[in-house]
Order: sequence, then C-alpha cells, then structure tokens
Amino acid sequence: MKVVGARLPRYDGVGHVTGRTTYVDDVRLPGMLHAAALRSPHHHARITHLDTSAAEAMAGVHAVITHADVPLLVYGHLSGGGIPGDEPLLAKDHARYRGQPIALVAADTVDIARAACAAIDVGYEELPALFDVRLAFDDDAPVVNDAFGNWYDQYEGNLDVRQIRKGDIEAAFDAADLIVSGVYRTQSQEQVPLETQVCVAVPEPDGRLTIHTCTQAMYFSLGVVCSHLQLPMSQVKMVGGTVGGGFGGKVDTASDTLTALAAQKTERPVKWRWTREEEMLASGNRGPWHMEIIDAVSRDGWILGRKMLTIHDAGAYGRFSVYGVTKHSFHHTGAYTIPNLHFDGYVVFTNRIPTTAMRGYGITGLSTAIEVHAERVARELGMDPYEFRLKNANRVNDTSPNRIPYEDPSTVEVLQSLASATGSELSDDLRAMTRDQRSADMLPDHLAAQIGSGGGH
Amino acid sequence: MTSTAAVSMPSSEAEAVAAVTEQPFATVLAGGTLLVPQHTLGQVAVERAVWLGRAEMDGISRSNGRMTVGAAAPLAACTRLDAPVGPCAANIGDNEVKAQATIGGNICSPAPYGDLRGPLLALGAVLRWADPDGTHTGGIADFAASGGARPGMLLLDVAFAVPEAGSFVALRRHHTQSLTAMSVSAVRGADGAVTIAATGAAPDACRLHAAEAVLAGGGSIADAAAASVSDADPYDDALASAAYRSRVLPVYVGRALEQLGA
Amino acid sequence: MELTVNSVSCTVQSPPLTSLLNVLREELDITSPKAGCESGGCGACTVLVDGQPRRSCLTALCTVDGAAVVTVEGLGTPEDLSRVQQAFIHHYAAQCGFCSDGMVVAATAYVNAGGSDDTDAIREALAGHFCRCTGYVKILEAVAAAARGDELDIDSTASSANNTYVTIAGAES
Repeated sequence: MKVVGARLPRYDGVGHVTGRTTYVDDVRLPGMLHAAALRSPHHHARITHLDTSAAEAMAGVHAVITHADVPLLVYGHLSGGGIPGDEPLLAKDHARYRGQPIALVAADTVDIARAACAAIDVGYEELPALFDVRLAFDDDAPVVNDAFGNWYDQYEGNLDVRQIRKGDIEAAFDAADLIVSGVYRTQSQEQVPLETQVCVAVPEPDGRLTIHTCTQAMYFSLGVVCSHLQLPMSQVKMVGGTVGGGFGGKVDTASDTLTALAAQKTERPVKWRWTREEEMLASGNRGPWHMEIIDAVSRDGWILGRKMLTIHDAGAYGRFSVYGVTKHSFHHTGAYTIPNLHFDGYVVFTNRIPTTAMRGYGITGLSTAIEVHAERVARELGMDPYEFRLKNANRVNDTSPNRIPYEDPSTVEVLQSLASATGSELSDDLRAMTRDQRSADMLPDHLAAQIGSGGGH
Repeated sequence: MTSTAAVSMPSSEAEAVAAVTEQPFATVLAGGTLLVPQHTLGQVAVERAVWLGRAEMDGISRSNGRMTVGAAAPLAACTRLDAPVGPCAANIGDNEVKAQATIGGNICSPAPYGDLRGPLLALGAVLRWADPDGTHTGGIADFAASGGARPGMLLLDVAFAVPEAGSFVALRRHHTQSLTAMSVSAVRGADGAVTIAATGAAPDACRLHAAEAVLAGGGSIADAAAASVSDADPYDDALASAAYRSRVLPVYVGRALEQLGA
Repeated sequence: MELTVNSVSCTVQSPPLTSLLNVLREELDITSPKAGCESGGCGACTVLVDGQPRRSCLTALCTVDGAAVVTVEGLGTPEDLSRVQQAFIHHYAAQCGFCSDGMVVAATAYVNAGGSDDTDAIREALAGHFCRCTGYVKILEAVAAAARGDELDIDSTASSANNTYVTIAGAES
C-alpha cells in the first residue's frame, strides 16, 4: 500500500505556510462592492416600519436589500427534504432573535455600508422573549415561530414529537430493582472558526452567478441560494475552496444567499464578510439540550429500560434541528444496549440565535448526559463503573434504538483501552471480553429478543 | 479605508499637551490596542488624533525611592517593575499586545479593562494629567473624580513610592486573551502599613479599608480576608456573577496577603 | 507614507489611522495577514515590524511610517521555504491554514530571537495565537523542531510523539 500508513505531506501544506492559499476573503475582483447588514437589536420585536430611502440616497451606496427584494422570502434549510420552510431570509414583520438580519447594504466600502445601515429608519415594538425551553409549552408563552408555533409539529406528517418505542417499557420498569433518574442540561457553544462567515458573489456576463463560498455544505447551500432566489441550479456556480475552519458552523448558508442577491441587484461583484462580533452573536451555534433520563436497572447491573425526554433549543428557526433531534434519538442509548425504550424528543423554538451543527450534531451533549448517568447508576448499584459499562456495552448484532444491528461496535475495546490508560484494574473476565455477539452470561433473557440478524444497515 | 482623520505627532510632552487640549479636542492614540480596532469597525468617530509615540512620554525612572512611569510606557516595559505593578502588567494580554499597549491607555480604559488601576490604588500612586485648565496631580480616585478619560485630557505620568513589598493575584482563565474578573493588590509601605486594593470587587477599582484596619489592629490574614467584603460592591457581568465575586474576594485577599508575607 | 514590505519599498495612500492590516490587505493586496477578529484577539494578522511580531489589526499606519514590514510571504517561497515553514509542513502544523500565516510569523520571531525547544517557552511566545483545528500539539512540535535545527523533510510528515501512527488498516509506520 502506498498511502495507508505512509507519512504523506499535506497537498496544501506549502500554500498554507507561505501565504499562498486563497480563502474567500482573499478573492479580489475589479469593481467589487462591500456589504454590511442591519441586524435586529432586540431578541423579539414587531417591526413597525422600515424606511431605507435615506440609506439609498447616500453617496457610494449601490443597493439596500430588504424582505421585499427576496423572490422566495421564507424557506428552510431542510425544505429540500420535505420539512416546511420557516425562516425568512430577511426579517419582515417580526424579528425573532437578536442579530437577525433585516437589511443588507452593498456599497463602495464597508464603512459606507455600515454607515448606510445606521441610516435605515426602522421601528420596533419590543415583545416578550422566550429563552427557556421549559417555558415554551406554557399557555401564556410568547409565540416564536410563524410556521410551527413553539415546537416542531410535523414529524411523520402530524406528530409534534420525535418518538422511539422499543420493547416493553412498562414491563422493564415493573421488573426493575432500582430506578435512577437524572436531568442534564448542556449550554450553547459558538464554533469560533478563525475565518468568519464570508462570501463573494459575482454576476457573470451570461446572467449566471458565481459564488465564492466558505460553506462546509456546498450542495445544501446551492439549494438554499437557488430556492430563495428562484433560480434553476444551472444558473449558479458555487466555488468552494479552503475553508478557514467551520466545525459545523458553516453548514448553515449564512452569507451566500444575501450576497448573491446583492450581486444580482447591483450587477457588481459583492463581498460580505462578517465581523467577529457578528460571528459570535448571530451565526448559528451548537444548541443547548435539556435531557431527562430515567433508567430501570436490575440489582446485578443490567439496564432493563430507559425513558427519556429531550427538549432541544433550536433557537428561532428550525434550520437542521429536526434532523439533529432525530439523530439524537437514534443515539440516546449511547454505547450501551438497552432493550426497552420510550423516547420523546421535542424541537423547541426560542428567541435565540438559530442553532446548528457542531462536532457530533445532537450527540455531544447527549454523550455527556449518558456517561454521567451511567456513572451515577453504577454508584447507586455499588458496582465498578467499568464492569457496569462493559456488561451493557454494545456488541455485534445488538440493536440500536432504531433497530439497526451494530456490525462493528468498538465500545468494549474503547473501555478496555481507557481502563489500561488510566491504570484501572479490570477482572480477567472483563479483560477477555470482546465485541463478539452476546452469549452465555452476557446474554440474559431480556437481551435475547433485541439481537439483530446481522447484515447491518 | 476608514475616516481620513489627521494625526499629529508631537515630539515632546509639551507639544502633546498643546495638541490634545486645543479645541476641537483630539483623540489620543497611544498603543492603539483599543482605539485602532474600534476605529476600523466604525465604533468611534475620530476627527483628529494625536499620537504619543514620538513625544518621549514612555520613560521609566527611579529617584529618591520613587518610581515615575510615563503614560506612553508600554506594558512590556512595566512587566519589569516590582509587584504589584509588574505582575499585573504581565497578566494583561499576550506578548504582541504588551509590546504595544501603554500604562496610560490601561489606566484610561473602562472596566473590565484597566487592571492597573488596582495596583496603583494600593500604591497610593500620584497621577499627573493636563487639560485646558492646566496640569493636575492626584490619586486614582481624584483622577476619576475629575472626569477620568475624556476629550481634551492627556494623562502624563504616574509616580509612586517603591514599596517595601508588594503582591498581586488575579482571577481569570488561563488564556492570555481572557479578561481578569478580579484582582487583589497588596503593598507594605516603608512604615510597615499594608494597603490593599481590588479590581472586580466593585464596578471600579476600590481600596479594601476594612481589611487594612484588621491588619493594622494586629488581626490575622483570615480575619482581614473575611472583613474585605464590607468594602465590596459586587456586580454581575459576563465574567462573573455578584455572588461569585463576593465568595472569591476573601480568598484572593488571603492569597495576596500570604504572598506579601503580611 | 512609506513602508518597506517584504523588501519592496511602497508609498501608501491609506489615511493615517488605517490599520496596518487593511493597508496590507486592501491597498497592497498582500492577503496573508488574516482579518480573524480585527481586535487583537486571534493572532492571525501578525506581521513583523522592524523584526518584532505585531498585530497588524492594532497598528495604525501612522505609527509604522518608514518601518520594514515582513509578512509570511516574505519569509520564504514554495521554492525556498524557511526553516519554520519547513517545520510546519513536516510536523503537520497547518490544518485549515487560516492561523498559519500569523503563527509562522510569530514562531519565526521566536526562533530568530534564539528561542529554545522548551514547550513552555514556545507556549508563552505563541500565547496570543488561536488555532481551532490542531489542538496546538503539532504546532508546538514544529516550532521546537525549528528551534533545535532538526533536519526536516517536507516530502513526508513527521512521526507522532510515540513514533507510531496506527492506521485504520492496523499498519504501523
């Protein structure tokens, strides 16, 4: 083999260390304009009036774009997959989160564009804001999302919750020697790529648009841009390149669509680079998760069943959250096999920045909850946490919450390596354990029915 | 790119004072670590600026047991001073920022910047500043009472008696870019008396008189630390809650006094 | 105002309070210093001013009139890489590359000043430089290698600290 195991240099290494690598902000074009956004200063407000005439009259301003300029104002990042759209490209009647773009100005310089944003006359009537997902279900809660209300209600067409039902949960709880419950809440987190959101859009002589994009998700972005602009995909050429860090935050189409619209309207190349402050305050971040876990456990250390409630804070709009909660539901047993499950997961809207992917979308906070909970269960049982984990660890042909047989689960080896690396003693039995399909002591009656037939996904 | 503000470059302190105090008032550019990014991002309007880099206001000298530090002295130079000023300066920013930022700029920056106001308050430092009414001297509190950083004012230098001993402790995250949430500076003067000041215990730097009184009365470090909260005016911000500030102030006072050998 | 940038004399027209970052990027089209935060917080815009590392986003043009400015382009070319640049390639210290321009400049200043391969000293020297990809380990290894004067081979990457790479195929090298 020439590649596997070889120490190959990066193909882009020389460019990276000599300043030759071109990022989107390094794209230079004759006549290029610069953009800046007017963003809502309020978490939740009704927009009472919007007058851009003073900004449009300023010297050096080439276009002021508002909701009225967008061919298809409301769309959704997952609309290509059948999820109804809920997010206006520019706020129209309401601002649903602080930092939501209301207008974009394209001007000769970024200073002029910023000054023009400040000259836009916009009136707000502040509304009560919702920040806590636990209050979203209250009758008097502020209503956040025009399409769905305060939580997504169209799973499988008409369900307001992502459900997993597996085995016989009531029987598992009836048989339990011990019931351990816990509530786990993780915070939001900004991805902080060193390159902020940035786009250069170029109107071509043949009427097409070329978009230099920093996206991590080229074809998602192509679809989102073409939908809002109502263009066939053949009219838009997306040029990717080196992304200056994304970590999930550049899965959202944050800057491409508006920059493209500005280029269309001005018939000039337009660059829109977000400031660090905009990146921190208004770009999609990892969302907070509220997770409640109740485990039914036997005295000898088996997890017989799990009831779980998850409330995911999507921020003001859905973006990818419906997908995130579904992925979360498939993983809600983590690295452990639990035959009886009752899972409910809600996508809840709040007046916060729409949340998005970051390194293990839907999973990272979940893993924290699952592992802290496993530690607590082991302690309540008075059992060694490694033994508890290894006993319940996923094995070949155990099945996931959505009934997919695991072909190559690595939990056993990971736990053994972890014990070895941290100097934790394992018994001979645990050291000898492998990922092979359960048998004998490791296959008690309650786990027999969940074993899959192999063949994998 | 940004505004076309003219920048004058005085070559002496007197020229700098004249340039800053004449109408219409100019914006002072020292190290630029706060002004330049604000200007780039359109957060401040600058009509006219005065750069201190050639005004020979960056000297650090010692005579008759007193240290005088020019307002334009970079923090990198201040790190070589004894505690509490040296370690406080070392605690601000990374190497590149310290090479550029000045002690005067730091003193004039609003909280949560302006860490050096704590050590200088503990030292009883005397500031010298000029405005259209002339040249003035006074302590950190007097400077604040005069209006502090404002158009038409130029901070000239800061002087303090070299203490017998000094200490500085700070609460912040490990990274150099993290802002200090709280700091405590302690100084033992030639007369043996201990003075203590904190940043982050109140909206601006404050003396901890009650703790000082406990020590003067022969009390223990633990008792002094416990007494320190009575001078605090804790507040919430993004760095720490008021409750947390109240809780950790005695801990940091205790550490500063132990380091001092009080 | 006059600047010497990467050994080329330039007369620049930007207003005096313009940041050196914007002078380099927008007037002179030298794009290696990156506008990561424009507030002095990330290190990606670092250049050498008269040999010393400076945040170009914090530096007003008028304060460096007549100075010699060196960006990463001036440290070496693809055909003639500097020792630090070679070390960054050999030790796999650049991932997305956005911090590398500033990181290589600051590391060069450190090595030129006689810095050692001591990890704590390197951490201190690069303390103001953010990298979100690498976790810094490879960067520390690269700067240490350059400081030691290790023999470097840009046609292969260095082995990791315990001298083995375990691949998905289980092969070691």
